[in-house]
Amino acid sequence: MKRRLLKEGIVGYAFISPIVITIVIFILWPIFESFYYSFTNYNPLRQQEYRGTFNVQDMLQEYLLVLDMKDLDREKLTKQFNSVDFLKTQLGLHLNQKQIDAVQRYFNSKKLIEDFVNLKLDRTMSVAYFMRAYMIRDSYMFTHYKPAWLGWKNFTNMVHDPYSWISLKNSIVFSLVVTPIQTFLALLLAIAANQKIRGIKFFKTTFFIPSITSSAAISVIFMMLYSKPGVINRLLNYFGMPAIDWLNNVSTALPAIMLMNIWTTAGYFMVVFLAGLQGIPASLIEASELDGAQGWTRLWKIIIPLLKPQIAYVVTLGLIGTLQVFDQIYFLIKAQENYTTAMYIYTNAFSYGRMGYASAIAVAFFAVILLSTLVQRRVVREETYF
Amino acid sequence: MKKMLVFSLVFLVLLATACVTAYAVTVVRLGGWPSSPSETAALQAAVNDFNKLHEGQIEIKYEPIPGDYRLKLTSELSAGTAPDIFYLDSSWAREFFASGAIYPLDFLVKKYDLDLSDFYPNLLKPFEYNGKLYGIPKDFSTLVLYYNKALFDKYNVPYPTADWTWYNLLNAAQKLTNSKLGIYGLGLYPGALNRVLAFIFQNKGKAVKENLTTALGEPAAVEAIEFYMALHNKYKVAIAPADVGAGWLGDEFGKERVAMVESGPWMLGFLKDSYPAVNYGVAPLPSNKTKATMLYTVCYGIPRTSKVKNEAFIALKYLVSKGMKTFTEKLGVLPARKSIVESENLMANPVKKVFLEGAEYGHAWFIPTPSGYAQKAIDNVNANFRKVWYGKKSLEDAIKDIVAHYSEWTTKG
Repeated sequence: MKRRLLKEGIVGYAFISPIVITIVIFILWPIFESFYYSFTNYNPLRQQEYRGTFNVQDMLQEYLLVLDMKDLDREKLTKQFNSVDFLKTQLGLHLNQKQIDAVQRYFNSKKLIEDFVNLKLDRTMSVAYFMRAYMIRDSYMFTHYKPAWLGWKNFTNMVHDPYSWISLKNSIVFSLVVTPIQTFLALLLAIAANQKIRGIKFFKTTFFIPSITSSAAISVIFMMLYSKPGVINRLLNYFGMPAIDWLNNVSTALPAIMLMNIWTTAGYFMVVFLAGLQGIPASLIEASELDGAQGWTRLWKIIIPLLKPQIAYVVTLGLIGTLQVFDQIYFLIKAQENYTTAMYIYTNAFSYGRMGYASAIAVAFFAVILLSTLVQRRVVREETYF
Repeated sequence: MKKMLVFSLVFLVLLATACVTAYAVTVVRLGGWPSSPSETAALQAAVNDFNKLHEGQIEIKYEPIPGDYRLKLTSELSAGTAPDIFYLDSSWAREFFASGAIYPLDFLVKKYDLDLSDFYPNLLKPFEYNGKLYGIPKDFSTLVLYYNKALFDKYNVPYPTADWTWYNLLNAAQKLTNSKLGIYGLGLYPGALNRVLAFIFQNKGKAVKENLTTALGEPAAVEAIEFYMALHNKYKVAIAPADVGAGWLGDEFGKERVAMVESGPWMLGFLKDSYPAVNYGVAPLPSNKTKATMLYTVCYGIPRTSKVKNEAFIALKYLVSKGMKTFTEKLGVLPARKSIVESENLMANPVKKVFLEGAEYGHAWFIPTPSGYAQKAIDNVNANFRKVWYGKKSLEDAIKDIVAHYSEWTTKG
């Protein structure tokens, strides 16, 4: 009996191992790395610093300005050769003070020039291998790229950076505006889609399509709609109101994106509510009708309380999703004052080369989202069925 | 007997494999962004020619990198899987040079005898860093003044000449502006340092001083920025594309909402395809204290992680020599080599001539900084410019902000 349970256990774990391993490698491990990088000045372009290969003789010839490998003067070359300078300018290494001291003390320049003159260096090797060969000791400092430890510096910079606060504010406002409207709209759509009328399948599909359309495609469409001579402004002109450049005007850009986001995601959550509605036994609705509950009362006193688990689910996902909004901001927003945190992280990481700083913002934002989710779970205490 | 047969067969197969791998072709991977299908096709043609020439020895595999190129290149360089040759744009190449990820080409240039004197010297400048050369330019663009002949005729304004100054530009723009009809003299971007710099250089100003601190606060630069902004704010003769519902200057010009724009050779193909009815001409940018224009160029670079640097350089050398000829013939871009300009007789084309002359007095678009990183500074300067353009900030305050924060923007985090 025990053996069978064990066998079942192993089989079970074997079945889930592919996805678990994938999650650990591609999601959990990068998250931990991110935590580590937030305390450093990590530069991804330096990751291969000690792994690049080079032909030693070529590099030395260029550094020492030696055209011909004949009649070489050992003494003159040894005087000419400066180890720290060679490593920095020829091999492109960034050396901290500790490393510079180690090189000055323990780098065997004499042996290097000796081997060079004896034509032993016409071979290709990695920087790490090269250092191992010519450092008398302390070659452990030159095996791979170790980003400099900055302690809390990235986090203190973040506190003093006005744009990190502006983008946080934008993310929170975005989330607090979009989530309730999107939830309510999804609920309305679900009630509408629950009607037994002709063509209801068509309506369900139409409501749902925006959420599965590529966000890039939707961004392009809305860019045209929101542009100065676009449809929305033409409508406003018809009613005598002036045209507004919705996306380029700093005060209207985010509300425009919010509208777009609500339109896009409501359909997705409609499906959740639809499932919930269809789970409410018809007998309950009939009973409430018999008791004289009108449409509005029925909605507020019966349907919504019964949908509490779905509401909690939609609000939680909505909060997390809207706090992390990125696609639409990336395509449509140009002004930094309108950036959300995700966009600011991306800009710092990939346009400004501040991967460590971006990681710090990401870690801080993770704490914000975690906190908001915990608070929200406390406030909407749901008797969950799942 | 059977065993012997099997063994000898296996042995022969192994021997054949060994022979094949001994004569294996060295593969050089080439990466770049595909700005258009015609560019990809043109480059592939140059690659095919090279592969035929070096059959059995070196083979270039062209793998274009679509999407966010800088992001993908950074990821590939950090993983060590970057192509052996790839594009680097002059405006952000220095970040890569400063990080040490790109291999300096001086030794290979000497080893394989690549004559650099044939290249326009202003195109090599952005790829020189700390006394070493990290890239070879493959082509370039310059800014010229496009003008709408029909609108000029309508308002009886003489066409721009090579001697035009800022005064001529303003004068003509004023005559060509008719805000009731929604037509303006000049189309400009509200916040684009890479365009405003042309005006700064024309006023004998510059972007950075010798010690790499900002020169945008110097009187020469401030004067130029003031003139640029005044065209929109004071004289009301310039308008941004977004304000007439256009995506960029090309759209503005094609829709004939502006009579003049300062743009590059990429407009030629666009206008031919999308707005063929527009009758236009090109002239050099107006000067003030001196003639100046902007040069936009891209280079080929080799990463330090490449295991086939020699073969990669042989390929690179071909791509910037005979390959450049094939590439520029098919694509109609401006070659970075003076000899190709001569051999193709490009100066005979009156439109191309104006672009090519810009190479002599043009300034390459790049901002050297102590850390090699310029994007944050550029973004913040552009944000300030945009605010001044739309009247949200005074020019004084903007300049103060730039000068005060520039060093913070250009240090690496």
